[in-house]
Amino acid sequence: MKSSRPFDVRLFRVIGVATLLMLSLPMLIPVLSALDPGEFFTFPPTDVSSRWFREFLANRSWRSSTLLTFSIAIMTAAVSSVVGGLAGIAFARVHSRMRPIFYPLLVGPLIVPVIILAVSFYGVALEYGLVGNLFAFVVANALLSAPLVALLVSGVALRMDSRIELASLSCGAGRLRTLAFVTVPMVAPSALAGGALAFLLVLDEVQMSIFLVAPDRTPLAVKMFLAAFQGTTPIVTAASSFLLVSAVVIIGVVTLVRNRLAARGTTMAVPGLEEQG
Amino acid sequence: MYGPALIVALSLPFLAMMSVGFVLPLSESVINSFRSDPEANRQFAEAYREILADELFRTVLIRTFTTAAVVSLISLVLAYPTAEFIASCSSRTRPFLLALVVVPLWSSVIARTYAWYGVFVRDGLVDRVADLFGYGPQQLLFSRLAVTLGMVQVMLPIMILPIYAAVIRYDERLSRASLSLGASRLRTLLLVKLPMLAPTIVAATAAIFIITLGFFITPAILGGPRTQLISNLIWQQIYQTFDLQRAQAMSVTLLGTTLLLLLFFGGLLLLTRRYLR
Repeated sequence: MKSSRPFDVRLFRVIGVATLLMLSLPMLIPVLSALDPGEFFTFPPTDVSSRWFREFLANRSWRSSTLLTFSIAIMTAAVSSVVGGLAGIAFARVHSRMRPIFYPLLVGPLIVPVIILAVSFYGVALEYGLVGNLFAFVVANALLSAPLVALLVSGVALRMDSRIELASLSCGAGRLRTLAFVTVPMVAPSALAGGALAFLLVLDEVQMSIFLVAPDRTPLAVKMFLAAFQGTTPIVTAASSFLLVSAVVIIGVVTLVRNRLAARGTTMAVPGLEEQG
Repeated sequence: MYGPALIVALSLPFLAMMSVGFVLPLSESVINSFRSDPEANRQFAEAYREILADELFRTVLIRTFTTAAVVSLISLVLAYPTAEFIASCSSRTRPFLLALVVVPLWSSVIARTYAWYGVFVRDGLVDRVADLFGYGPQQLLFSRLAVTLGMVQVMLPIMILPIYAAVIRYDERLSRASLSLGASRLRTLLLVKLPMLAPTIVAATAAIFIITLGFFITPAILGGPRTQLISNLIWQQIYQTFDLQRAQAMSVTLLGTTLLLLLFFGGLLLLTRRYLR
């Protein structure tokens, strides 16, 4: 009998399993290696200790980098979900002939190699003395994540039934009221999911931030990058484990919330979960 | 339905942020890259003449494009069978397998790259395995293989998810019709199924190609001078040589070539849409 999926062949299964292992197993390496008390990054670890995690937490400069990154991440998440979310609504509800005006701004920052944005942004930051400025870090990061949120939200707004909004308008609610009580609540979960992903993007952002660093103002990812670039210290593996665990926790929470909302019929668009059908 | 005034108001924060952080800095970069600079003893557009005459710049630019081609090709060869494999699993195992793709997608690139460092470093995993079989140290760190593997691992989720979505949407009855009419499985795959998936595959490959052009973290950590890509070279111009104009000229050249590539892929996408569907 021909199977119902004719391309369920052994070759695909072998490549598939190998690829999935290659994707997921390396995630364990930094976590396991950080447990090794030795002076060098080794895998597999030879002994178990919490030495490098303690040093990561106790070291003043790593701690200040972590705190700086968290403040940038929270602000970037807020800015991108609000600014990107509102732009996403506008993009979905503007006359379709006007849409091409928005398009370069939505997609541009996502397809242009980041180093180009980074060099340009640095040129301006240098001119206006914004190097090391917290606000500059937030804007630099939001440039990358706000378009992502806008695309996500506009996708949801385009798919939702706009007759609901028309019903609200025809029942006498004004435009602002309809926007605030009908449209925004329907896209808000996706905007917040976008904000959560913006948070994760900040934890990992190097290229934009590396030009903006000042003494005592180095985001965690840049510090990790420079440490790994110049040599190696196991503190980077401890920091990596910290980032990986944060990612797993945030994705877990987002997925749980998404499933809860889906059970109530509310859409929450999350890139990566959308494709699962 | 919201009227032009409200649309403008909604998109204003986004448009303002993108103008200040993206459009204006980029324009200034372009203008400044051409400007004559008496201090650096440069005439109009001399920065371009310099970089184009620079052997290193040309080598690195070409290397960036060949690397992007190799990485997208390997990713495609691994991603399609993986998508097919996940799609052929039962609906209960699928979410688990997809999580193995989605979690890396949103996890820190530095952490995932640094993991490979532990695999390839002297006396790391590869060397220890080689030792078991009686081989000496492999010295894979800083090699092209290490960099390519690291980049493929970062790119795979971006490739797998859209292809998986297309595989799930594809109506398998078409293949069964083809099989029952006597076509072999290979023929059915090549002439029936893959043409249906072609637009997605072309779009995903284009995305990987363009993103790979901007790779920065992975070549810096896993590679050396002989594997550095264009983003690393541009960073060096500012970080080590303090030559902003040269960095801007390199960025604009990269931007130009990226836009040309986008046109090429756009045309390719139109062709596959028109002739393969």
